[in-house]
Amino acid sequence: MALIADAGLLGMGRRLGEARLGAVVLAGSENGATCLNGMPVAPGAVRMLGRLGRLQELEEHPLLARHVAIIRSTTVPNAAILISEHYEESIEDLIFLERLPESAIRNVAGQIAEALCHLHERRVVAGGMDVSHVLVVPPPPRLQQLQQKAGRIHIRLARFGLPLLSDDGRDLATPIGVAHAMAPEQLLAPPPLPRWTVPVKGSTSGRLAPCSRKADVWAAGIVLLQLCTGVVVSQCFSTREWLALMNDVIRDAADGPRDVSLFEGLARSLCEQTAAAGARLGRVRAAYGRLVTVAGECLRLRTKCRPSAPELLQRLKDDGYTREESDEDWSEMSVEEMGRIVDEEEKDEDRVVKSMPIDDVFFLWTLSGASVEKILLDRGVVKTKPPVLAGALVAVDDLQLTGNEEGRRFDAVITTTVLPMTNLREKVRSLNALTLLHSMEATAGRLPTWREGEERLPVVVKEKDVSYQAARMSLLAHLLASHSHLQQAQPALLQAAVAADVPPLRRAGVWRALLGVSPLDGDQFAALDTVSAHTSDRQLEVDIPRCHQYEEVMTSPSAHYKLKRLLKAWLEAHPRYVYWQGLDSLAAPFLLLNFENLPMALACMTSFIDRYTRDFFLKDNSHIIQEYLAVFNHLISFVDATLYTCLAEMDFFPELYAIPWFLTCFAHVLPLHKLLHVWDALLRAETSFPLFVGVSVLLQLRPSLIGASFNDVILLFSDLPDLQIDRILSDTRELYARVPRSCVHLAQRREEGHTMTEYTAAQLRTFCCPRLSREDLIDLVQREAVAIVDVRSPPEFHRGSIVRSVNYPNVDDATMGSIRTLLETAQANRHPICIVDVATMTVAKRFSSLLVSNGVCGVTMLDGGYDAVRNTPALIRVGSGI
Amino acid sequence: MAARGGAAARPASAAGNKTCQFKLVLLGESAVGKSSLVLRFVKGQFHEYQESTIGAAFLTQTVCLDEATVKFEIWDTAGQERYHSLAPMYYRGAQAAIVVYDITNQESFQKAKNWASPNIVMALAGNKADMANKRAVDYEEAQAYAEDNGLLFMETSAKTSMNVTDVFMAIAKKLPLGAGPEPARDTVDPSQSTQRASGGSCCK
Repeated sequence: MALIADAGLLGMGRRLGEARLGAVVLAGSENGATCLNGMPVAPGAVRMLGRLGRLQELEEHPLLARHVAIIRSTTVPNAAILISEHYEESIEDLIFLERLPESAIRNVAGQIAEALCHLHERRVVAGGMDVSHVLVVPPPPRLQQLQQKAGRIHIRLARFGLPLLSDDGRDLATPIGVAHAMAPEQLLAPPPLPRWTVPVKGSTSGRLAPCSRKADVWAAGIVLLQLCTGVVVSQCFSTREWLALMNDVIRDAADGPRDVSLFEGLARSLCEQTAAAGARLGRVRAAYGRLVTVAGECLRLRTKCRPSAPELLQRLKDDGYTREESDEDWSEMSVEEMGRIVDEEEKDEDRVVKSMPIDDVFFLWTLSGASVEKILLDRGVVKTKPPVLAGALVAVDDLQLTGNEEGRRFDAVITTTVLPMTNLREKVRSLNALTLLHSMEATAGRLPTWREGEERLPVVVKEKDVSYQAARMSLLAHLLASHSHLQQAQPALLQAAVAADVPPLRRAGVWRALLGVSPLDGDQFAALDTVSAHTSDRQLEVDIPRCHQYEEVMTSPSAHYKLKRLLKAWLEAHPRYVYWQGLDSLAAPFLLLNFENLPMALACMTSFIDRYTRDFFLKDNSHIIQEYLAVFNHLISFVDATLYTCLAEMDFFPELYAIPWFLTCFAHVLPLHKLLHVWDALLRAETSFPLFVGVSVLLQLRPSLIGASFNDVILLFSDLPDLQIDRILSDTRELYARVPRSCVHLAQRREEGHTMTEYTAAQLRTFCCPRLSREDLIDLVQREAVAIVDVRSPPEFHRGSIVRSVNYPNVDDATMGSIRTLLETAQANRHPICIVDVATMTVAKRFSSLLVSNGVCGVTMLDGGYDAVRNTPALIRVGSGI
Repeated sequence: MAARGGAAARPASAAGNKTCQFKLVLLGESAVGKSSLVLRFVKGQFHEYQESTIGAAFLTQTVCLDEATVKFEIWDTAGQERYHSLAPMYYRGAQAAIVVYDITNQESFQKAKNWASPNIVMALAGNKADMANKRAVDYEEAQAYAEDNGLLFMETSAKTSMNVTDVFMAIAKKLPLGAGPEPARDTVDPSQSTQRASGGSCCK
C-alpha cells in the first residue's frame, strides 16, 4: 500500500505530507503609466504572475516551503494571492509558548543559515524574513516522540523570494516584510512614499530600500535575538515602538567602532520586557557563547561588517551544527520494523491525500469547489468597500478612473491564511485507493477501466471531477515516469491512456511524450542567440503584446519576454523558415506548458511544426498552402458533397477562410482552453488531422452555410461563433478513422505505404474529389467496404477489371440507371465510391463532378487509373467475368 | 449585428434611394489599427489588445447618403507583407481602399506611401490620433502627401472613435454612385501596385 507514495517519488514535486495550503494576499502597485506602444503598463499583480516559476525551481531544497501557485484576484482590483506550502506552527509560536528548548537554538539557526545560503547561491534574496516565516515541519506521528527526545526541530522557510516576485518591491503596494525584520539601511533611507500606497495593517506603508543579502543576514540576526531571549518582538513592540527603539540604538551606536553591533542594545531592551528573558539570555550566553557572538555579528550596523550567509553557516558549523536529513534510516531497519511503519501508515485515513504532490492537491482543492478569494473575503482578510462607495469621480474611456482613489483601495492583513481542506480530505477518503494504484507490470499493461460512461462525459465536466482527476493524474504520473521504458515494450500504452482526455496538470509531460521530445532535445537552446537583433523583431514587438491576451499569464511582462525569446530561438534554429504572423499564437501553448523551461518549449514546438505544419513557415509557402487547401477542399466534397457544392457555387473557397486555421493549427482561431483539447487529440494523430478538424468545424456551421449568401458565409467565418469542441472532436475522430488515408495525401509530406501521383496545387484544383491510392483500394476491397464504378469503355472493362467493379461507361447519363442502388448502398454504409478510369482520368473527373454536384458523398478516383492496379492479381479479374 | 441584418436583406430603395455595394480594402502596416478601425465602424467596439489578423477578415456596414445608400463590403487584410502574396483575392476588384498608418510610427507612414492605385477611391488615415503626445508623423506632412496624390486624408482614432465614421462617409461620397450596385470588374489590383512600388519608385 505504500505504493501510493509513488506519485511523489516520480518527479512530480513535493508531497503534501503534514503540510497545509496557505494563502497570502499581495497588493499590486499601479501607476497608470503606458508603454511606448500606448498600451497601459500591466498592473503589479499581473506583472508578478509570470515570475513564480523562477522561485519554484529553487524549492526542491528541503528547507524551503513550496510556492504552489499565484492567482490574480478577480474581486479585488490589482491583487494577487500567493498559495504556498504552510505549517500551522512557526518558530514564533514555539518561542511564544516557551516550547523552544535552548538546546534547539543552534539547530534552528543553522537551518535558517542553510536556507539563506541556498537562496543566495542562486541569487535570490529571501526578503523580510521573520520568526513567523520560519515554519516548523511536524514529524510523522510515529516519529514525534523520537524527535522530541532528541530536541530536534525541522524548519522550512516560507514566504521567501518576494523581492524576486515583485521586482524588488516595485510591483507591490506594500513593503516586503514587517518593520521588525528590517535592517537599519532599509529603515534609514526610505524613498518618498508613492501616492497609490495601499494602507496595510501591521506594517509601514510605502516602498523602502530594496532587500539585499545583507539585509537577509540582519533579519536572521533578529530571529536569533528572539531565539536567544525568548521574546517575540512583534508581540512586545508596536511598529512605532520598534522604530523608536531602533532609532535610539542606532544613535547610540553611531559613535562606536566600525564593526559596532546593535545586538547588545536591542537585547537589553528585550530583556527589560520580561524577567525570564534576561535569565534565558544569560543561560544561552553561558552555554552557547559562540552562537550569541554570531548573532551579534549579524546585527552589525554596517552591512559590510555583517557576515555573508555562507560565512554565517560556516560559523554555526564550526560551533557544531549539523543537519540530519531524516530521523529514520531505512537501510538499518529490520523488515519487521518497516512492516510496522507501513502498517501504521495504513491506519492514517488521510494517507492518500498526504502522499499526493502538493501541486496536485491544490489543483484538486480548487476542483472541490473552494475559492481562495471567497475564503479570504469571508474571513475578513481582505476588506473591500461596497461598490457604491468605490466609484470614480471621472472615468475617461473605459480605463482611466480618476477621483475617490481611497474608495477603491482595499485593506488586507498580511498574514498567511490556512486554506481549509476538510472537503478535499473527505472526497479523497471516499475514493477507492485502488483507483490510484496501478502496477503496469502486474496488469500486463492493461489500463484501468473507469466507471461506466465516465470517459465519455464532456472534457470540461471531467476536468472538474475530483475523483476522476485524482485517478487520472496518478495513472499518468506512472506512465510518464516509466515512459522511456514503456516506449520499447508497449509504445501504444500512453497513447491509449490519453485517448479520452489529458489531465491538465499532466499535459506538459504528456505532450512531450507524444511529441517524442526527450530532455536532451532541449540542449540546442543554449547555443541559440535569442538576444541579438533579428529581422522579425519589429513584427514580434507588435504581435506579442496582443497574443492570447485574455489569458492572464500571457499578459505578464515575463510571458512577453519569454515568448519573444522562444520565437527568436525557433527562427534562429530554422534558418529556412521565417516569421509569419500566427506563429506567435502557435508557440503560446508550448510556452504556457513549459513556462520555466524554454528549451523544452522550443523542442516541443519544433517537433509539432515538423509534424503538423511543416513548410508552412517557408518564406514562399504559397504552393504548400495551396496544395493543403486543395486537399482540404477534396475532403469537404468526400464528407459532405452537398455542402461542397453549395460553397463552390458561390465561389467560396478555403483560401478565403481556412489559411489561419491550418497555418496555426487553429491556435489563432480557438481560445486557448479549447485549443488545448483539440491539440490533446491532435498529438495522438498523424499529420493530416487538422484537415479533419477543419471539416468538423464546417459540419458544425453547416446549418448556417447551406443556402446562405456569400456575404453571410464570409461574415460567419470572420467572426466564428462559439464552437462546441466536444462535438468537433467526436466528429473529427469519426472522420479520421473512416476516411482512407490517401484521400488526404499531401505531396509535401510523403507518408509511408502510399504510391500517389504528385500533382501541383493547380492540377489538384481541377479535381473535385480526393484520389484513392492502390494500397487503400486493396485494403477496402478486402474489407468489402468500397463501391467501384469503372467508367472505361466496355471493351476495356471486359479485357480486365477490378473485382466487384461495375462498368458505367455512359457517364453523361445523369439518371445513374444501373448504379443507382450501388451508390445508395455505399452511402448508407458510409463506404467510399471509387471511380476507375484510364490513367488520364479525364472521364473520371467529369463523372466525379457530376456525382458530387448531385450530392453523392464519398466519391474518390483511383489514382493512376486502372493502370495502377493492372499488375495486382488479387484485385483483377481477367476477361468477361459477368 | 445590424450590419449582418443589412447584409441579409438589402435595404429597399426607399423614396427613389438606391443601394450601391462597394468593395473596400484596408491596407497598411501591422498593428496600425486596421482591424480596430473596422471594428469601431461596424460594431462600435474597441479592444485594446486586438488580435493580429491572419489572411483577412470580412465585415459589412451600410451608410446612408442623401442620394443613395452605400453598402461597404470591407476586407480587413493582414498587415504583415508576407500575406499579400498568399491571397490576392482579397484585394481583387476593390473600388475603394483606406490606407492606414500609425501617427506615432514614422515607418508605418513610409510604408503607407507604397500603396497607391490611380483607379480607385483611396483614403489615407492616420490612426491612433488619441496618442498625439507621442506623435511621430506631422499632420501637415501627411496632408500634403495626400493632396499631392489625390487621396482623402483624415487623422482617426479607433479608441475614441474620432473621425472613424467620417472617413468611411468621405469615401462613400466620392464613389461613383451612378455606377449602380454592380461592382466594376476592371479596377486595378492594388496588390500589383505595391509590387511595383516596392521595386523602387512610388506609383502615383
